[in-house]
Amino acid sequence: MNGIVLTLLSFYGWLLLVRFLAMRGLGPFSSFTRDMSKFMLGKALGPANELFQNRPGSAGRIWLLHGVMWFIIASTLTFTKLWTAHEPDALASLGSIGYAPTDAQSSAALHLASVFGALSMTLIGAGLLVQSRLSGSLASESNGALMGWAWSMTTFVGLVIAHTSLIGEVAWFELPPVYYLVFSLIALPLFINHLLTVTEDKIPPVVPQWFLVLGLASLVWIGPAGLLLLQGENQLLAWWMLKVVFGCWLLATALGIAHHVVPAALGRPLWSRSLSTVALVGTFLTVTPLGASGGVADAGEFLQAMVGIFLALSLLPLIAAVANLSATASGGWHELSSSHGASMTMVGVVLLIPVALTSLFASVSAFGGGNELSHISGTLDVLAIWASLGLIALGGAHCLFPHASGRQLFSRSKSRWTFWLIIVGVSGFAVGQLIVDHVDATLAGDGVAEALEAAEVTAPDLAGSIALFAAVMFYGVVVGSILLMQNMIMGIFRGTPVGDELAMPAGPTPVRHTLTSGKTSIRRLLSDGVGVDTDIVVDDDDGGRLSLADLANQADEVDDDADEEIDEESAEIPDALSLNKMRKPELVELASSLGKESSGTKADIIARIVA
Amino acid sequence: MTVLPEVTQGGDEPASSRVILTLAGVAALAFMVMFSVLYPEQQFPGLGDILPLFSELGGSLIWFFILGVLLGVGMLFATLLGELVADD
Repeated sequence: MNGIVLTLLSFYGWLLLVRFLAMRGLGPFSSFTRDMSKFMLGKALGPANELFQNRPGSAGRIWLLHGVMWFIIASTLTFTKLWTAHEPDALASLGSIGYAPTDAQSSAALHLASVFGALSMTLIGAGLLVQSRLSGSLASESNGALMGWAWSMTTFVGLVIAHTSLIGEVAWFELPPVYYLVFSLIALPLFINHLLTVTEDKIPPVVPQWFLVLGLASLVWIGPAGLLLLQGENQLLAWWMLKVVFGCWLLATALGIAHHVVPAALGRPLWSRSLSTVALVGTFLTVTPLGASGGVADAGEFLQAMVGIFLALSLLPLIAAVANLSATASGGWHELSSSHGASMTMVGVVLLIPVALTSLFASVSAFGGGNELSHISGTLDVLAIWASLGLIALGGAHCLFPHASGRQLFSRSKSRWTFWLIIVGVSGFAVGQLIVDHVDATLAGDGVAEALEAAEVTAPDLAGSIALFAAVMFYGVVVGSILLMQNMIMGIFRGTPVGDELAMPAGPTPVRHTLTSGKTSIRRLLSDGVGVDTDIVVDDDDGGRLSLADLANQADEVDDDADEEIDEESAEIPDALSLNKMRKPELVELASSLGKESSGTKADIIARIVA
Repeated sequence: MTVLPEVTQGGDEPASSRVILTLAGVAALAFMVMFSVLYPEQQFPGLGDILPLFSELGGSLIWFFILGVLLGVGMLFATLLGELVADD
């Protein structure tokens, strides 16, 4: 009991310290620590830091590409695990080349690849891009990119270790505890990077930034805390670590990204400030039900009651987040459906409620109770990873990757296929696997086998067939991940260059925005969805009102002038040398703008333009 | 005033990819139905049963899916290499 109290105190003390540092700094030592941190992130790494360019988006790009690559690996491992649960000898032939993992080894590899590979890398990448967009620029892009490679390599090494006899029996933390310390050490520079970015910004951090900073702080805490597992089996600590990983790290970061992606894609302000705050505070102060397979066999009544209360309370921040984001998106379904990334994120957010609600019952019964729902807890964890958190992560990658690469994703058709394959795949898997879990649990119940034998009845292998159906449906997630990766790679080379339309919130802007007393900035107004046509009402004692209608008209005139200048410039035809250096899509666009035929080879198009 | 007939014929056609996907889906479904009717007691043939080259893999159907993943990953590498060496 004392151990868990100390663990909780260290965790929440650490989070409070982070909150204090981000808001107040270190007083007279602030500038020294800031300079020192910058040095440690950059020049202290020596030649390693020179491997990557320090240009905007380079860190996010590396993390997202690696993250989606791990999505392919993790989803393939999940698919094979689901299949071999039905047909254990399906991959037996791989034993001839030395690949014959035990059930525990394949679970360990799967947990590592999905949580620390796929989800963590994609969420960190999206988080870095959200941070840089909200703060203007990241403190060190090159360090972020370097850490991306380090994280990916560490995960790969872990994948190898997971197939050895070094694994333990702690669920979701099967690898040696020292291994997780490496993740914390890599997360530390990222955390400092975020913290520096936030503190260098003149504007106080907004809710998505708090989610990201506190989420990374939780991840940093995991490594040192995991070392306590070296003292021996500690179910309570392992359970708490699992809840921190699922709730304070994965869920918090996913919510931070969703709170940015949805309003940014729709060009609307977040509906409610108070609901955002409830989601933020509640996520860190309650115990998430996600990670339902973790449990504690023996717990005192008081502890059991407290955990039950905090597990139930965790639905509040989730409901607040879903309500807030749904209200933000309401009325903007056209914009939402036109962005597959935002749609994916929104579906993931909405699915949080059913997944969390079902996981709540499983988690409560697993903590000191009879663990009556243990047969579905594994499926619920897979759904939490792939249906809720996975969709938010992939949606974030869809929306934010163009900002990192400077080009749009290559194909909207591939984005649509990715969206539907993952949604249908996860839904089919959920239906099939939950049926299998319940049938298997019923057949394994007390006295059922004897009763069947006495009645001389053989139970049909219905569950086996449905298990196969569930695995085949999950294959949609594998194909969807591959399509997304291909879309991203082709987008880097051939995607339409990102224009100014992505630099500002797009779509309709609120008609009226009321300012409370105090000060604000244009950036904060823009992030709230204010546009040039917005009426800004200043809520002062005299009831004064400031309308930007005149300013908007002036802005329109300035835009018209700028458009005319651009038209004049575009009428100038570059010389043949410059034309040769242009890409074919650019040549096609130029030829079309000049009213000339744009088909044929590159040389044909240049000849027509020059003629 | 020109009066259009109640029904007119448009000129659009479905994309080739969708036609191929639909045909492939229908063909797979037809094969499964026919196989189940003709050989009700037998499992579907695995990759190793169809191609002698892969006979060592065994008769599990999972290899069709793994082959799909390998083709997908190979396509990714081919795309990456192709874009890197593309001359445009």
